[in-house]
Amino acid sequence: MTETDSQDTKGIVFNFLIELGCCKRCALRFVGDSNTNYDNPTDDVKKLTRKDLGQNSNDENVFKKSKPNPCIICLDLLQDTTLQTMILNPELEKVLEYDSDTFVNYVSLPKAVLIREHSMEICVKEKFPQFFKDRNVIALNRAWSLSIQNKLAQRLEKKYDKNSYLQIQFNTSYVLDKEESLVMLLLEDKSRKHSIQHDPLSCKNVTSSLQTINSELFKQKVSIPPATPTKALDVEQVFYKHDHVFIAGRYCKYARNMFQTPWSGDDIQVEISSVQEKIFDHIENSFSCSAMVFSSSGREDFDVRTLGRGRPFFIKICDPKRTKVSFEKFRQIEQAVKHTKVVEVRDLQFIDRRYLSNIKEGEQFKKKTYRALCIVDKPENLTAYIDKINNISAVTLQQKTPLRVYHRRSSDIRERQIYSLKAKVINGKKNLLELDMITQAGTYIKEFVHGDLGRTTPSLCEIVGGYIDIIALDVLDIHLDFPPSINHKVKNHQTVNY
Amino acid sequence: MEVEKEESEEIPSTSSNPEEDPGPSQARVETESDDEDIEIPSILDSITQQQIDEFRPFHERYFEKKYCTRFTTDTVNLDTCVRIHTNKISLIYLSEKHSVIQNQQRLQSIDFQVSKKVNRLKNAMFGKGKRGAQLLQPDSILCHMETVDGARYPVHACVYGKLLEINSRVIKEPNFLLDDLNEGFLAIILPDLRRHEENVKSLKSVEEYNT
Repeated sequence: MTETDSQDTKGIVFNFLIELGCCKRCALRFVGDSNTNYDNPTDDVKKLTRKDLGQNSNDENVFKKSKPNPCIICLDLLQDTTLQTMILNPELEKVLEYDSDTFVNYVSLPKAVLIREHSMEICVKEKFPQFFKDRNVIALNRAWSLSIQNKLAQRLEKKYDKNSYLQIQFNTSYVLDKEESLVMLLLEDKSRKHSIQHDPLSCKNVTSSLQTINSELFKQKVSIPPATPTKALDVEQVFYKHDHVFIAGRYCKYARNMFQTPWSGDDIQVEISSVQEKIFDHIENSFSCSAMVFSSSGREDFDVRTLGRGRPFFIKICDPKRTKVSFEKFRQIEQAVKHTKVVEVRDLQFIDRRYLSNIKEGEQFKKKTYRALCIVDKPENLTAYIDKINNISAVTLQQKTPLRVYHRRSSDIRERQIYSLKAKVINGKKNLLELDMITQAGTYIKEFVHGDLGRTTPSLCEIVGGYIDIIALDVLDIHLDFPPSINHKVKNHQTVNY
Repeated sequence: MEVEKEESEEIPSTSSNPEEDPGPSQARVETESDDEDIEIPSILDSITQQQIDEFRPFHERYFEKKYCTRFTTDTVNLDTCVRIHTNKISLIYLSEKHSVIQNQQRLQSIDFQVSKKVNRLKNAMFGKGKRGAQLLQPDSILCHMETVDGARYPVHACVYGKLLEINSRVIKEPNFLLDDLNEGFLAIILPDLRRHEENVKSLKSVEEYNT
């Protein structure tokens, strides 16, 4: 086929669709190419109506005839008036509050529209088989997006980016949607019955049904081409949100009377602060978000401090209006938290969500370093105890569920490794010793020291052959290199690198 | 026929160099970090001398000691000591005034087959709620102690609850029950929370017991 022939056929198909009752953009979807300007299709339409044969070839553009009925496919979704209504939605003002430079827009289509589209596809393929042999029709929502993108970009003062985290969802409805789509229930074949059972008329189910449905069966129940509609679709609410972003860091806890996350036990006052709250207080404003969710690599007891580089954590920031948080700003947040004196955070940074599994994965293989302050029964045995401890290289423990958590954990025996032990005296204290150890994650340290009435074995008491107990415990390190450490000397310009 | 997905569930990657990807997408930092500069505060300084002086051993620290005297008769003292953890889990011990201890008797064995169907050592349970654990009432028998001179003493549960565990050290060596009144508990019981108050009221405090 020559190009002119092809162009003529395009014109024929185009006018065929217009005559049937399609709007100009819908008709373009069937004949257009990658250069079609859906935003302003005037020129494309002119080209197609000029060269058509057997049609009224005077300048009066076909589509300017007053159209009493909505487009038989899109129900006027792709008409200028509808697009205008969507652009002028006052809700969009609020989208300007987001500092994201980009946006992406979606539309929900009534199921009736999907059915009509399918019907029209069957119709044109039968009428113009050669033309549609290798041709793809542009999907409705894609054409809609192309039609409205530029104007939306202008209104929102942002750029369109299909990967944008700022998602704007336009919704539509159609009064006759239910009636027109009931036919899908008649068409479903038995094998699909189960999957569609609980919501046969959802958009998703209709779409997948249409993909596999037998055309002959379809034609029996649905008119080809689609019947002329009397009502157009209605524009409903627009919803917008910024997808979650994640920040990660490490925290230190310097207080011996603080939970990690807010806890309301019936006998504990709610005034006791938590690590999470202390951190949240200082990041809330920076992100202007709807919610934050805290997650960390394990946690320490109420009375245990976390020192050293601290415990890795990440925070999910939901629907942030502000995302341009600079390197300096993160450092400021760290300083602000430091002022609380009880919590400190470091290495605060954005983190891509695909790295988050690091923090929870392989929990039982992680190692932790602890320091315990221990008290002994007989000060005269202190040196002997210390020697006995230092003579041990490693220990394998069998730990029954500790009594202190037995009310809320199942009965079990856990095998855990202690990789190294080192004890030393403390100057000026005859009955105390300092014990450093590296253990497997999940080891109950306190129970290892005092033995939990024989339920953790071997215990330090057994090892030293006397009574030794733990007065205070500090976590010195969690052996996990996440997130990457921030070097303050090298400034990283991490603006929107999430 | 192409139909584009309405909404993409995929998380787009906007990192600058997706190919060379040593880790998170942030611009690289030098390997030398601030780790060496991190100061570890002293552990000794984090607690007070008072805390050291007032420190009590484990079996006293978290437990409230109570006594059950309701099964004692004029002829024999079957008092038990019930230590209740702050989380309400209760440990049953023999009281120091128990006849066996007062008479300095020795145990030959302990019989945990308390009835035709019930053996306290065959207590299987499942999950956090300990489903399937043997249910106990105050007068339920945990075991019968058999002394070398042929006497037989029952030990009662004293509280409403579920049996969690019999002390493995006591199973191994019955006289541990008599020799170590701090670590030699007989059983661990998860009390019935609905009747916990009732449990506690039925027991005597240390002062009451010793006056």
